[in-house]
Amino acid sequence: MDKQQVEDIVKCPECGSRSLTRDETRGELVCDDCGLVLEDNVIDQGAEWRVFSPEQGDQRARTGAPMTVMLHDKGLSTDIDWQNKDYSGKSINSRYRSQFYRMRKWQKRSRVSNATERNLAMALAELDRMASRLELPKTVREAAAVNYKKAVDKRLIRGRSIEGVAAASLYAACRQCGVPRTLDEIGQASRTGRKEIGRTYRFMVRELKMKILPTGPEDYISRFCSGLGLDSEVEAKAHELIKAAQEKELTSGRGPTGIAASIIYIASVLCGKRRTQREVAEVAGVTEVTIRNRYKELIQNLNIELDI
Amino acid sequence: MTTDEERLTVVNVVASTRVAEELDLPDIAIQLNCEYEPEQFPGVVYRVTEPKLAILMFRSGRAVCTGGKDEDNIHTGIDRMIQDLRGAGITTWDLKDVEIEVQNMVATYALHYPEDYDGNDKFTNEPLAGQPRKLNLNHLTFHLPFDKVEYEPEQFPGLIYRLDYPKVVCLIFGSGKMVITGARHKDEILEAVEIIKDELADLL
Repeated sequence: MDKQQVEDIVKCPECGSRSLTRDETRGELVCDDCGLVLEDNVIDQGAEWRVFSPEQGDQRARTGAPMTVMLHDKGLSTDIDWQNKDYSGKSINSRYRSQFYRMRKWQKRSRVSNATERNLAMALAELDRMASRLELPKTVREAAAVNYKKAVDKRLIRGRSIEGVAAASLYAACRQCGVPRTLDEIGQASRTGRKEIGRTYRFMVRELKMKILPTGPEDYISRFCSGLGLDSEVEAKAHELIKAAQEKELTSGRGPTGIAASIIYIASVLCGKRRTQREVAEVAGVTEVTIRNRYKELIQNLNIELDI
Repeated sequence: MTTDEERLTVVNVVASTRVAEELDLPDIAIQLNCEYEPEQFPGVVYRVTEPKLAILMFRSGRAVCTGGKDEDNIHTGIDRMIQDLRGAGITTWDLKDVEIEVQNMVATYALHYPEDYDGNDKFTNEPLAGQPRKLNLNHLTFHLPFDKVEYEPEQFPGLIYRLDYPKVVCLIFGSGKMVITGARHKDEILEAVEIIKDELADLL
């Protein structure tokens, strides 16, 4: 009969408590409430050696860096170290140094074996570049890499530019992680234009059946406010105005960036920290005309008094 | 009380047909004085002013008629074209032999609250029965089947709803107005309108 894995036990069979303690020194799993020993002789799955300093730890560890989706081989390949020293630290004989140089070179080249992998490596490099330019966090980069890999698996890259699909994956990842970037912003960081990215993005979402929610003006408030040097008072006011606008059905079918921009403009004036329409337009990536039209509509319908 | 039929306007009908085994396009272009730029487009553009239609004719004798408001329009247009062709001495098949097949119909529809709707506008407190119905497209994206809906406010202000049966595409806007396209028959359009009205009735 299969013994249940010790990691799977979450509840005490006697008293039903979920507060269990794992005692590493005695190798036991004990219930905190009734004292029942659920497991004993638990096998320690750690290393068989001990370390007294970090260098020793490095030396004895058998693994390398963690697996990552952002490299085309998932970080599972190996490198020959640049140091030209053997395991014990002695320098390598000069006769073998050139051989090492060649081995290193070919090891690097053999990592990419066929056209698909080469394209994947290029695309991931492009993703990295764009993400760095837009200062996006690691979670977004990884999500984008996953999106791109899915697209490759479903053969959506055929007939499309790598940059286009990479940019679309990044755009999707930003939205999935709750930090949307406008198509314009992605278009500026990418080598393709926003129209192409938009088309590719819609195609990808349909084929990969991704569930991505439409963006709303609230998603952009904190980013635009910090770009304008506005503090949390203005941000809070802006969020309040957005809620009011949404209740009055003033937002449907309108571009969320335009609404966000005009609401920030109104909020900045109301809080006494006004920014010019031009400044707000530049940060938001919309035209001044849009802000003018939207804000007039908003103050009319929300009954706000603006002293301009 | 305005019915569905009355709120629906067919804006465009596209039909294809074949009027001959082959046509001499340069000859037609000269005789009938119509547009023909073989470098740009391989067909002759023959325009009719009343009803306002455009008919594209090709060397194979096939023709595509666009801009019609209903099937009669198209019939009249093709009839006029055949007469003109015959008048210019070009052999065509008889009008009664010619088969006309509708390929696409585009219509607009305005969604309203039902006449017996028992509610008032939240802010003006006027009765809503029979008024145009505004829609919250964000809500709709969740309410309608997710894989049939596309809504990207940053790119296009309308929600794109692709129906399976009838196989049409509807663009739904925040004002409650919508565009239905891809239908081959007016019945399909009416059916689509019914389906959408039903789905949106849940949200009332």
